[in-house]
Amino acid sequence: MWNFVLNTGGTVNCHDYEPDYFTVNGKSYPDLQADTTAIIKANVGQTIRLVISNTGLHKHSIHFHGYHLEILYSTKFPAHVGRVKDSFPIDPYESLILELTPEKPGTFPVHDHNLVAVTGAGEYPNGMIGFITIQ
Amino acid sequence: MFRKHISFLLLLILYFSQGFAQTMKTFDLVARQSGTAIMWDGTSVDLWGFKEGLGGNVNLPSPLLVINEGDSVTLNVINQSSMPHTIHLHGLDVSQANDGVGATSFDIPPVMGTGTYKFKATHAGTFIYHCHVETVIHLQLGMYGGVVVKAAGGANNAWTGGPAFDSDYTWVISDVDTSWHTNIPMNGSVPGFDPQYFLVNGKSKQQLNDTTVSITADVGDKVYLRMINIGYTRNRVIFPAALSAEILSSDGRPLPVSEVTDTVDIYPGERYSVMLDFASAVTDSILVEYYNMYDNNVLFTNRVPLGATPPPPPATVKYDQLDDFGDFTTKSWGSGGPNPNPPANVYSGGPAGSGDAYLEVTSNGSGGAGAKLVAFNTAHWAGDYIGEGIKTLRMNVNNFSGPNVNLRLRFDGPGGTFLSVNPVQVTAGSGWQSVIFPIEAADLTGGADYTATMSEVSNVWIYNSAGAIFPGPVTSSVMGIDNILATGPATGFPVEWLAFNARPRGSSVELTWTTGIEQNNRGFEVELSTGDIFNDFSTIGFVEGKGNSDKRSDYSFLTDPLPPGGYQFRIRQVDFDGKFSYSNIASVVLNGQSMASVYPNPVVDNGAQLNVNLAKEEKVTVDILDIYGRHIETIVSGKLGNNTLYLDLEEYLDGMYICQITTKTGKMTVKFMVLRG
Repeated sequence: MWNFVLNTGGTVNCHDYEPDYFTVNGKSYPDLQADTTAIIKANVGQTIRLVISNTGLHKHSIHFHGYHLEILYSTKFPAHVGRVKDSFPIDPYESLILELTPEKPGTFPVHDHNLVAVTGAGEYPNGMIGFITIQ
Repeated sequence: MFRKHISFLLLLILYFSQGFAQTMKTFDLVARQSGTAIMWDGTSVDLWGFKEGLGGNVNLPSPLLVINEGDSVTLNVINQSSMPHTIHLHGLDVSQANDGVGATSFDIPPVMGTGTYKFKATHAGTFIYHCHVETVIHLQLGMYGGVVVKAAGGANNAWTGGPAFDSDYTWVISDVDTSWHTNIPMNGSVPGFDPQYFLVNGKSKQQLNDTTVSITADVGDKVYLRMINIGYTRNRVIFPAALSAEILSSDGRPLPVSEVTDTVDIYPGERYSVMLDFASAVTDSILVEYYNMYDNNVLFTNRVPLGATPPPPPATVKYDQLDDFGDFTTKSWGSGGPNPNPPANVYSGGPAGSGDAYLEVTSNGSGGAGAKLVAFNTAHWAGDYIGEGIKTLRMNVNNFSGPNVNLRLRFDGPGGTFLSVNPVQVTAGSGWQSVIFPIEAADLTGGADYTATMSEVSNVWIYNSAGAIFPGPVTSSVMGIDNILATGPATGFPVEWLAFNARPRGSSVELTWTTGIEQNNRGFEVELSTGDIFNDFSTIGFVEGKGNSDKRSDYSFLTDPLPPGGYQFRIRQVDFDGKFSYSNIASVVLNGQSMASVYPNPVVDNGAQLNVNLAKEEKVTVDILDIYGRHIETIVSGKLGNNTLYLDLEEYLDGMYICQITTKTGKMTVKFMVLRG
């Protein structure tokens, strides 16, 4: 919507910002499923490190099915390092590093629990839905 | 991809105990698209959701599932609706097959389709279950509830071995946009989300007084608050500083370092658990704020009431409290408490005769409530017996009819239940008599902490039992009780001394004594002194007591032969619990020897006894001298034989004195000391 407004010479107000598309590494579900930079694949017992940066203006809450991950690093909340969670809030301009050593196999969704961000232009499923596959 | 189709036969909740922390737990949930939630302003919102059992409507949120760490859990789901649904076990890290995501496992088909989810609860904590079909829509429509995994064995700890709490609350925080519920979005087409209602456990504003939401505690309690955000907004929960809120856990895992804070931000899908310390009386509220995910504007604030009141003040037993039933009421005895619950009435004809009201407690002897002789009081006889210095309860009792009974007291309180060590036997047809129940630590048995119970007694019982157990036998009895008095220790000793005498029998001495009431009396040690200073008594024998008696009892003891001389005797009465008391002193002279003694010696008060035992009655002078032999006063100038005189020593300073008895034939002296400290 902002793009449309700006492209047609209008102005925008940051306080009214309500995005309607949500991407990870530039892609939304279902295209995201084919992106090897975003879809996590590993084996049981391997240690996975995941860097998440929120370069948008929306707040997100990234939820992992199947696994809890440890916060290794947080730009905004250093005191949260060491917490083991399944849902990870991430604010605009914040980065997190998470670590997982999976103990069981399976394919599980990894998605935003800010459920507006699993839609795209009002259609579900879209947006920030990825997967983790452990073999 | 696979589906599970399980025949729908039974809706039973099954529990198979396999020892501690190995329980199987089964929930039978029905998915329905029929339900309503009433918002704070009366607006009715259509719901989808899960409920336990067939029939009926769903509520918001769906039922809280409570299990214990280590449980093996089965969720049987019946889909009683027109659309597929699933249950995603959010945060429980179940296997892919049980994850409740249709694309990676199975949907539960519509119209009585069934599905089963199985998992083991490996971590105590707070989790969520919700439908994961078209999640954005089905979740908003109400298909969510909380899962609490308690510590192993269901203990009140944040996690197994973790910090303990007195009570816990679970808040499922969410929001409602009524337009989604009125015109249900279909085929994945999701309208803008613009909520009007902001909820905690489905409640808002004045509805927050709901007992699952508002927090009530006793002062001193620790309350563990589990918070779940399963809404579409970001929550900020703000606690009164007085509660010293401390985040202990998030997403079902203990924090590596707990965080003391008055503000907890909870994003959708997150859970945080905080320990609240109600250290002092407080009435306040917790703010629950709801924010958009894309700005910092507060959409709504709920204020959840909380309060901690001091524990109810202990009831009002007072030293010297007396129930004489003079107002012809039962004074709350024998009613309003637990069974057995015998009839208790007030009649005329107490110890003081006609017109004197007394409590009559009857037992029917035929089983059921009222079969046993019990009276109890949870009203003004509850309270702090230690703080009041109450050492005995005394009363008049009358065993009107029935067998002999053994009355005991029972005290209930935080330190456990205590019973009288020794009973007071009241024989059938006893008539009115006075009885004393000692209630000091050695007098009561059973509970873990005497002080805890006796400083906060909740219930006092008078009951019949031969042994220190409760309750006693079934009896058909009529027991009168009157003049129940809370007071100090039994007056010095639980034996009423009526007489004590010593007289020569040849070269031996025969001692005889008589008691009235005996309580808990083990017996009597016979003590002998040769009459020197400091009354150096030594024990020469023992006579068993009656234990408990309300009748006159006569005792006697014959000494071994003694050499000529003067002797003093006294009796040391000993209780079963080690308490003791002394009789007076009796003196005797064998074989023509005269003697005298002062008792007690040292003198600790303003007076003392002077026992004079002369071989024959004769004229004497009794003088008091100081330690240097200076005359102070003459007590007697006249005839004496065997006499007990009273020495008034009020004017005497502390020190050693000499009592000198002068006869025609000689002088006899006794030293005594005044030592008042």
